[in-house]
Amino acid sequence: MPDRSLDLSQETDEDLLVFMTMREDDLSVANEAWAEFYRRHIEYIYGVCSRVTRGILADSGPADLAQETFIRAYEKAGTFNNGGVKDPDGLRLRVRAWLGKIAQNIYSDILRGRRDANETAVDREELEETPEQVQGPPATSAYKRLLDEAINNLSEKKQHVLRVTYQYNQPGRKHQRLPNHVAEELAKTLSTTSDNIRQLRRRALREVKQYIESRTDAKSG
Amino acid sequence: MGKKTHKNEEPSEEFEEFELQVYEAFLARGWIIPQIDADVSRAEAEMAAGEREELPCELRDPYAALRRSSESRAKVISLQPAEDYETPEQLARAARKGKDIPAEIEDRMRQDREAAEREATDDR
Repeated sequence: MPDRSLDLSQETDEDLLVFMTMREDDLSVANEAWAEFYRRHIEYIYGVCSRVTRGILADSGPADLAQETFIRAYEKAGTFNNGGVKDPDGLRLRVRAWLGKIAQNIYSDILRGRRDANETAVDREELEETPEQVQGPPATSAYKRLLDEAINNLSEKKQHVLRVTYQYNQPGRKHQRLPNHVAEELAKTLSTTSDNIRQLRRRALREVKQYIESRTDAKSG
Repeated sequence: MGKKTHKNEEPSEEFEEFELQVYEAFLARGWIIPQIDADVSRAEAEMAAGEREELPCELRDPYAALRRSSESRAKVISLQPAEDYETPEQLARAARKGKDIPAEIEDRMRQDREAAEREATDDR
């Protein structure tokens, strides 16, 4: 299957994606472009998938998620939007952010328990839109340490609820709301009700906030 | 009945800002998939500084990954019901009712079985 005569290693990621969109005309070039693209980003994507699914999906979960992300990227290559970025480093970040969106879509499907996750469509509009660069105010390292302590202090159940719900409820992003079936699925996993899941989420966040406030007050008092 | 307290209200703007900070802490832990450039950059730095995640064997060869994926998709397609009586399920149903299986169907079953056996031998 590999076409050894082709060397696409000097092509930009964007050009590789363009070659992939031409698979109807030349499958071997498209496949080779995909392979080159895969080689450049697989370690990063696998690392991300591995970290995000740890303790949530089974052992083969990260590899399956990473593989499916690249297959979906092949199918959706035409949806990549460079957002005006041209320099190689900036383009690498943008491509990986785009791959992150694809992985996120698949991961959300898996969490929703969709058995047909392989076949679900990725929201084309969402993939095409230039990513929003939302960032919070800079936090001091002491504050970050406290925040970390507070998160560590949460029960495993609350950490789990926050981890899963943050996949749907990302601050600053549009169209977010925890889908009912996700709340139901989570409720089943944690032997509780969907209403309790929403409450657990709020309570977990409040607990983190209170932990930080109590430490900060104690220091300033 | 008295009014409910504000305990269950949706988060205020201040709370949303706090949520963003928690979100970023989760990102730093790798618990959220980075989807914007700045988060990708941070994740790359954290991954470079931390223990290197070894790529599992099945992901090392891109062509093998592509092949595996197309095989699994082909399987999904082959499980879709066909239009006529030739699906295994319907063949089995015909057999269960004790009816005679028409010669052409028997022939088709034999061919399918032989093809499957050949495939299994080739895989070995």
